Amino acid sequence: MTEALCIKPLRCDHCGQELPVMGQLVTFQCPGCFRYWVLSREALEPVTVFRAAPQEAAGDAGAPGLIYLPFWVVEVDGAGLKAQIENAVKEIQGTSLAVLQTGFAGGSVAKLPASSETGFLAARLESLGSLMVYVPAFKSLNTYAYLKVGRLLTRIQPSFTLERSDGAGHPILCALRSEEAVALVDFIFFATLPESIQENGDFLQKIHLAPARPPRLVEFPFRTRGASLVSVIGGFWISGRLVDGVESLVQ
Amino acid sequence: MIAEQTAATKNNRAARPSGAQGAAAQEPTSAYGATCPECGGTIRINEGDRSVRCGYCGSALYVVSPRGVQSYILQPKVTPAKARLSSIHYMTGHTGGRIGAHNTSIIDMRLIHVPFWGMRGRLMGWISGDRVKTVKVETTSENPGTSQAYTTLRDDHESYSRLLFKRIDWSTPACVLPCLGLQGISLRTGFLDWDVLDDAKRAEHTIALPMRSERNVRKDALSYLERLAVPVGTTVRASRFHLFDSTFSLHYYPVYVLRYGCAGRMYTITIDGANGDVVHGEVPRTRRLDLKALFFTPALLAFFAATWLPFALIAVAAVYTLDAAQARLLIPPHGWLAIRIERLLGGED
Repeated sequence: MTEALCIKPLRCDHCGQELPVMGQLVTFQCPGCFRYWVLSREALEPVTVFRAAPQEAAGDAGAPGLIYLPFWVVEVDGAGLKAQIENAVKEIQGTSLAVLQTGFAGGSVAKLPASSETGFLAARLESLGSLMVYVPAFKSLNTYAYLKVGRLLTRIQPSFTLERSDGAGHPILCALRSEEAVALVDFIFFATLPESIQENGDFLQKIHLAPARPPRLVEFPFRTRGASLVSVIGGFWISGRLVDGVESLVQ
Repeated sequence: MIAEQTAATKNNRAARPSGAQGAAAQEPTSAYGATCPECGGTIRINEGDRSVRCGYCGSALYVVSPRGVQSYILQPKVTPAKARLSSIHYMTGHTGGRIGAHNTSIIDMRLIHVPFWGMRGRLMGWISGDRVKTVKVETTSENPGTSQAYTTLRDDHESYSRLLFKRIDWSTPACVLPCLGLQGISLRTGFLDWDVLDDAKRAEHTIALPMRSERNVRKDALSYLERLAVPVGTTVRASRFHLFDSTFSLHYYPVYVLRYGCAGRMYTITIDGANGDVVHGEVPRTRRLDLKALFFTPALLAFFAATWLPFALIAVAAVYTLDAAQARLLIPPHGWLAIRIERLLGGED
């Protein structure tokens, strides 16, 4: 039943150099070959890290005064999700109709959001092609931060350009493993929905977001403004207190 | 111990990037000991840390999260002599000085490590259901001839949904401990230096085995979390939960179990092996002279004897058998008679 704790030397699998100790963080950059490594449940695995830049200012990644917060970007197939929504609606309508027709006393009529709302959601997913769910990966003692920041970015579905980040520089302050990020995708998606849809438990219970490809680790730029952080991509504000050690991240 | 803990935390902070420092200062963490694979030195790892530096050889190390349950053991901070002294103080204090070291015999004292299941992590979840509100509704009679108004009570069902985010710190005893008096332990405190329980430590200590399976305990933990999440006065139609950053572990906590005899009876005292407090204790109680029993018992015996002499003997034999069965002990009849008379006249229980 019990399993021995395993402690291993922290070395770059590529060049053998010792990696920096990062405490609770799970990403490491090799000081020798500048490769990035992420600690999964059992081993160190190579990871490609990207930096996001606004489309109108491509090439500005790494500009001074910016801080970069890591996110796991999970791509979900929009068509598949639309099909799930339509199936859920049909299934609930069918079950409710059967309950009403048979007058089955033990059954209850399941709740369904207004057809205009589900129709709008399905149309939006179709227009997007693929839905990007942004799961915050920075360290925060406040679990609400993951939900709040992830919801803001996911709701906006911003456009940006990606640049591969593999030079010497700032370490990636990622505290969440990719498999944990995938498990949080459903909740962040639910948080983006209007309350009138969230209240339909029978409907949402049937929705499961499956990633179309492995999640990507992307750093998003933020500017500090007083005690707040302003997202360069998306333009929303969040409290700096949601991110642990934000003051040390300013480049 | 506290000074050591502080030093260990400082060392770990020094090894971290500056971004992690502020967080480490706020979060209450517990630390556990492990062995460095490079030099064999003892390293202390704060809970949640994924990489550490060995204080002896300076090697950078990372921690692989075990898939199964991780076991930790706490070394006792109280010596057997101090535990014995605590129990004598307890006996003296709780009997008003009647019972002390001179009139008791300590039969044995054992250090036992008692298991507790522990679960820590962060809960993210969503629940949706109905909130039931009872409202007063005033209705007027439709009959044009009367203008009577009725007040009726009606249950209004209002849909609600809630997204949840909580830090979880849960523990429960892993075996039944009615005589030990332990309810649970707080795993949040940073003052307990847990060590990873390996085969060597397992052989070294007396360990009580967990009586409930990991699967059942996980189920209990999840139902506890669900109860925690559901608002009062609501019914849940659908829910989904995920526990992340979580650890599920067994913590073996040291207790001294001391048994002593007084006036022919055995008593148990349980002492916390970490701080020396008496967790649970039994002491002889003073019985008052029971005048009713003192009158009615001989009267009943006299009545039986007057009716038919063997009746009295049969009644005494029946009570003796009953006492022996209850105590699961065969006491010589004269000894039993002495105890019964002593109890009738008062004395220690």
